[in-house]
Amino acid sequence: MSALEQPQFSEARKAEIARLVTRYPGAQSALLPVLHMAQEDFGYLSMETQKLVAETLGVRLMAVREVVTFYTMFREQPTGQYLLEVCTNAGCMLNGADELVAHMCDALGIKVGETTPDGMFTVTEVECAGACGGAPVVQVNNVYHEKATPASMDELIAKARSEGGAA
Amino acid sequence: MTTLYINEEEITVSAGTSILEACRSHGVDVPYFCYHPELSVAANCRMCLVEVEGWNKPAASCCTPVAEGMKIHTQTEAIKKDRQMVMEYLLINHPLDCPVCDEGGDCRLQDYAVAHGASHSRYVEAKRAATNHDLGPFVTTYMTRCIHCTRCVRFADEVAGTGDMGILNRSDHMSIAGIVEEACESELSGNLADICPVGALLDKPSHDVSRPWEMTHHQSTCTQCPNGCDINIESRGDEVMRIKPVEGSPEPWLCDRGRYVYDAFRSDNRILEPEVRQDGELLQATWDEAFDRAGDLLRGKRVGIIFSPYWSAEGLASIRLMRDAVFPDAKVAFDLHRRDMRPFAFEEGFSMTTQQIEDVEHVVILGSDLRQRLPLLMQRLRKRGNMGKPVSRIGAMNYRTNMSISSDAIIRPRDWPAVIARAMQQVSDLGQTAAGMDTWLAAVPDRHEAGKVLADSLMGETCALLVGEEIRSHVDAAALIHGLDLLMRACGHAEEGNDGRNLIPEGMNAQLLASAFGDIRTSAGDLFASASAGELDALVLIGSDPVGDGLFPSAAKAALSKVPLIQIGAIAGEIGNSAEVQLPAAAYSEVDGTFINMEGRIRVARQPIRSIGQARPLWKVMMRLAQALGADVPAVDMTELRDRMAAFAPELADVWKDKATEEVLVPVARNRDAEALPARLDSSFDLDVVSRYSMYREGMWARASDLLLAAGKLHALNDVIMHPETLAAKGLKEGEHTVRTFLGEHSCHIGVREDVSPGVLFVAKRGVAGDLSDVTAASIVGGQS
Amino acid sequence: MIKRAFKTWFLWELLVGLSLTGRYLFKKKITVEYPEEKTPLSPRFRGLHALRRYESGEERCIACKLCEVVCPALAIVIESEERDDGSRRTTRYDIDFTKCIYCGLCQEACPVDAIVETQEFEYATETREALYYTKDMLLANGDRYEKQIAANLAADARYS
Repeated sequence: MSALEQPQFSEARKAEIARLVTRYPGAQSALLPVLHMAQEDFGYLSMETQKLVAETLGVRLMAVREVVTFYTMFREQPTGQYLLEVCTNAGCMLNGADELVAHMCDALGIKVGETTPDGMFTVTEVECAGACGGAPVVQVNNVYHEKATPASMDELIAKARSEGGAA
Repeated sequence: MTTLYINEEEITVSAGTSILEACRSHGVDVPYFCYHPELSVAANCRMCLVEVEGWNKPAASCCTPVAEGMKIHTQTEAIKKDRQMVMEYLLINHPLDCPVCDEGGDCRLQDYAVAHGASHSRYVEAKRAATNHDLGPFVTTYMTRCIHCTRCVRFADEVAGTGDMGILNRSDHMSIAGIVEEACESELSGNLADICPVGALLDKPSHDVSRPWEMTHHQSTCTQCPNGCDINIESRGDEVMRIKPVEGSPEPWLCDRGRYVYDAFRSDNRILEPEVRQDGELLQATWDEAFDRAGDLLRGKRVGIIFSPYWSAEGLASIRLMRDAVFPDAKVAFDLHRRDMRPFAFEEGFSMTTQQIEDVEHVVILGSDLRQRLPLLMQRLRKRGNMGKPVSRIGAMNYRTNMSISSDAIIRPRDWPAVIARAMQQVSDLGQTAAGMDTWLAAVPDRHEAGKVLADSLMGETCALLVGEEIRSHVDAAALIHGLDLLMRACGHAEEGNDGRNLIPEGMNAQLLASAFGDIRTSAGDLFASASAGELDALVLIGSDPVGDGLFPSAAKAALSKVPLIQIGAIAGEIGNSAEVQLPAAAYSEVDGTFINMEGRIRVARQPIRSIGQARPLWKVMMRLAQALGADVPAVDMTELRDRMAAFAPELADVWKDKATEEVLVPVARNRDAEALPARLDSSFDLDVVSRYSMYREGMWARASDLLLAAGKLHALNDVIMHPETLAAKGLKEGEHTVRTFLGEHSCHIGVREDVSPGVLFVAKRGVAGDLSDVTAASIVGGQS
Repeated sequence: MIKRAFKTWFLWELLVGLSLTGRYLFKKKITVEYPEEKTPLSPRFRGLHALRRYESGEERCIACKLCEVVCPALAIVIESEERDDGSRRTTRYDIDFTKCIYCGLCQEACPVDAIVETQEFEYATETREALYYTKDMLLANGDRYEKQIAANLAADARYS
């Protein structure tokens, strides 16, 4: 799903947002969940998408921008089809997360935070993913891969490649 | 009321006050950065920590309300330590560049670092740097110095209403940013530099030029609009460096026009010496030579006098005295925007204070671009809006207000009678009426739906009617104002103590002008017409520019080609080229005079800056002129002049003698018998012409200021605009068209905009559009489609 | 009696006095023959002022005007503006040496060591006007005495 020139929420989404807004004292309170929805729908939060959210909720664009830039889980740049988020906090670091990141970056030929030229993979480091029992953890498009090793990641990358991007 | 103890001292404040405000009002010093009395509370600088007995943590005093019996300590050892730590934290990323920073010497951060900070820094890591922004022509930024107090963000949000600033990212990456970077599109942008507690936002025009300790302060009154704000003129030597609002005055802010017009005090356009025209050229002369020449031109002649309301009350009174002494038959004109000279049911001036307008139940703006006309009154209305109080508006255009207007209607000026009639109808259907309303109503056949907006607003207990220039300069203004007066009386908004009838005046001193010149005034247009018709021999122009401003530029040009002009004033303006004699008079910043603003508030400037060139206060020039023309000098000094003035406004005497114990307001004139019924207007032209007041180009002072002219370019609309449908209905498109008026045909570029009322030809740049300013109606002929 | 006659007749007092003169006549001289000879000056000597530059040739003065405000004799006049490159610089930096009292507060106030007092004291002029130094003259002083100034500052550095 690439961002459209002029993104628009689907009718179902609009209804969902309308329902959501009634749960809060003011429309601005629904900003976080609506931004999550927008990110789900359009992949990332482009300026156009942020304007759409501002208009939908009737808040100032600057108020939306403030929230989007505050939270690291909102992305303002498009990512690859597979977003590989490696936890590098203490637990995972002790279990080799740093080496894992280095290996993945080598394997894909990119640096942390970058996307492969074919638009398939993005590797980022994240703070504690809350699954220290299975350290190191790699989150692939919201799915946790615990006790990840360089080998298992290679396998995952190869599998993803062979599937040709059908996420 | 709540009683509490601050540093063992018992004080009583109203419930809900914050601890910081309680401390401030009782002279207890608590340091703060992010708190500002006019802005909402953010509580993010943590500098205002105080100790509350029984609490185990220090409290941020700006956001902690007082409670009964609370015991507060502001100077304990623990608090001193806390403040030291907060200062250390705030200074982590702040550069040590005080010597090159304009704020240095007048900087909260600098002062508090000395008073509350540690003497050295333990921070050895690299400091963060931030990119600067372009915030328009008046504000320069050094974002690295920012301490993220968010005062500017709240200012843009709550006061300017533009909301185009915000805080992006967080922690170390936190930065203040604007979405529309090119122009902080606010008429109040100059205040940003004032509210920034550090040197992140600075005044651009005076940047890197002066230091706070070099300034001499002169308290004066701004005469750039009828609001007449108190100003603090900061000068270095005789040169004005900055103009700032006065702390504790009714208006805590200052608009860009009033603030940056100081550029004009030293412009090339100022008249600095007496000049006399010889062989077609203005040449410097002595005062005696100039008065001799003026005497030759004026002695025993039929003379018309045109002056501007921006002079001090003393100056205006001296014009009257001079006129009575030497030209007892001369008519005077001072309003360049009034076509209808019949007396108005309520004359120019406010019956309410701006504070009352902020507080009333309902406010209606009738035909005024209030954001440009009275930026600070607009700011007060915006404050209302933030509190959820309604503001409605009727006018020829959806003028930008930077606030949400509760009900809005756009109309053509020729619909005003129908609008008022519709409102009257609604009011009288509800059983409220006033004597004479039925006759007025019967004179208007049509009803316009926009009247509902007006009538609905009048239903409350209190209502402020702000009547703007679209009505004041209407050809049938007296009838419209009579109609509005009837409406207000019917709804009970015209009684003593609850008077909501406010007519926005052209300039300062409106109340004095009405009482001192009411019997001899005429329209500037008529004066020019009689000059052109040969009924006058000379024109005396005292400080206004009818060629560059107002509604009669072509009439003025025609008149000046017939009769000689004697110009007295501070700025030559566009009309200066036609003067036979020019006499310099001191600017408003250079006189110790009295000024009356639209509310009737009296201000006496007592420490003027020194006037430059040979300029003298206007009253001296007037008296000298009377002498040169062979009359007895009516007043030889200020005391005598002021004694003579008491006849015009007795309220002034108390203020001069410091006898007034509380604020004295000069009342607005009322004419109960000024009855006028709306006339059928000639409508051989299908379009109504409305010309707009622009704060950046209206008035000779503003045009003499390069700073304001540059800013005006950023805010400019197309010269002439129309509603796209009106143009489309004629089968025409945006572009060059020929416009026909009673003056003839003109070619101009017509742009389109949805905000303009259909059927209106909107002149966005008065003066630039030439003769279009003179007319009230026009039609378009042909043009390429 | 004889002793007194002896002292009187042989001008004893004179001899005592002359012997002192004689002692000093053959002692090492402490006067210097100015202008051929000069006394040594302390690195803190406060003489003619100079405006310094950085090694890159950029003038040091940043127009903070602290020297102007600290000057007790009001001898310094500064005007400043934002230079095209955005830095704050003086457009005018004048010192009137007929007013200056050589107190050295200006160099003490200077945050960038731009205004300094050199050890130069031989700048007597024939007119008062010539003692009105402009920015260019002060910068030229700086260029001329830079070596001396730098040495003095270095010598004094451990005490400041």
